[in-house]
Amino acid sequence: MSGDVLRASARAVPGRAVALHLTAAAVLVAVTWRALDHDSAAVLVLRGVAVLLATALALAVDEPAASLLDATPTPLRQRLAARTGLCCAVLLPAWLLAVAAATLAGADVPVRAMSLELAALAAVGLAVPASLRRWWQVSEPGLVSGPVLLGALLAAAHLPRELVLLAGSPVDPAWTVAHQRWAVVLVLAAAVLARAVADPATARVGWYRR
Amino acid sequence: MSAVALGVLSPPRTLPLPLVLGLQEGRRIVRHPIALAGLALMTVLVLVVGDNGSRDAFEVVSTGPTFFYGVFTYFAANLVASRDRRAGSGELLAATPSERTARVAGLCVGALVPTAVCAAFVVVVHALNLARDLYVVSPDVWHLAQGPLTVLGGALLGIMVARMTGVPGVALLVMIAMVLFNAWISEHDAAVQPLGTYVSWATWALHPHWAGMEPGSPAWHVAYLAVLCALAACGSFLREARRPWRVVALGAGLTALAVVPALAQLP
Repeated sequence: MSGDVLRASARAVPGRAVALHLTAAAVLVAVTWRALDHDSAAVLVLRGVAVLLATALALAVDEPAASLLDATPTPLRQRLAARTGLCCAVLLPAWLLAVAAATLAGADVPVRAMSLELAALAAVGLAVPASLRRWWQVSEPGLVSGPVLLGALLAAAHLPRELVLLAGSPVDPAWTVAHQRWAVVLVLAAAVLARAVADPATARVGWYRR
Repeated sequence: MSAVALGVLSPPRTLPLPLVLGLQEGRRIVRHPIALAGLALMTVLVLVVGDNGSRDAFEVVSTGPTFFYGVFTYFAANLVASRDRRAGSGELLAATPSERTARVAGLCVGALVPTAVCAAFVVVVHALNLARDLYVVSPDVWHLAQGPLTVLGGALLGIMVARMTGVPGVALLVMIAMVLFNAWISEHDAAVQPLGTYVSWATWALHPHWAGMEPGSPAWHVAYLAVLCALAACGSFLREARRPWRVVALGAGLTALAVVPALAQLP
């Protein structure tokens, strides 16, 4: 990936939106600091931080001028990778800081499991707008990522016991199986994202169209 | 011939511009996929829990519209109100006869359309609940007015956020802050719970049957919500008004006015 693409991507990322979400995540951790010594509270707060960071990522990779940029030699996949990489360079340290804050407060934070949730939420946050743009030609689909992620989490909170995704804490008997489901969500979202950002011009022509 | 003999033809009387725009914007809001999803969820709520018991029957016509239709209408109104800015069509619209304040007024009038949809929904469900004798205590007009008024407030808040800032993601953060505020206030003493915008008047219990009413005045709570709606509408004009200080003064007056029903609604 050339330096020009990275520099252009860095200029195109909406810094104010990312900064706003990072600030909101910091405020969330600060306001709930006293309760963070409880594992279940720490898990809940880190989930909130994950939603905010995933929303920031979805907004940062939104391209209002995507239809114009599609005609350039830099394919969508490469542009998305550049923006995602640049945003992750900021968002991942923020996530680690949030985890460190919860650990300092006294919680026994399951770092790998919560990071899996963050990765799945980020993948969904990228897959939804990419799909809206690819198949429904929505011009700024990143704006709906936040409400979709929030709505999905609220809906997941009401799932029956057999399908639980939001286990309360590591001592919850459903913790392990819930995170196996998170891994499935991550894989599915990544697959949808890969399909949505694939160049339509390279699609295979079916035998019935030859 | 004189003009008197011919008769002077006057131009046909037209509706005020904000009303004409309001009907268009209102249609856009209610037909937005996000608003339709909220309406569908509200319908599912009624179908799934509406006849579980007398408390749930009370809740679906008083509080139910707030969370499902109100929140989704907020996002739909926000996207409709920010459409021109996101499309970069401000310069095109500047050449039209309508002023920016008239367009904002049209948006605020348009917020009445989802309110009317919610009111019709509540009336129909309430009538069905009455016919099926599901209530132990029947909700009065103030309980029924609460849902549509929160939908109006949600739409006006979405419009205000869209007109005040163009930073992506602010709408979601504002809604998260509102939800957290309501969750925080619901954890407190029942005496201050009416200060929120999601107020459940039926006492919660582990079962869906009637367990009594929470203290407070639903009528004053409706007045409190109405003043908050007026505040949101006022805030929508802050960036568009030629004399912003008038809007600020009006907002300050409405804030002072809000104290009266805020205190009067408390037990």
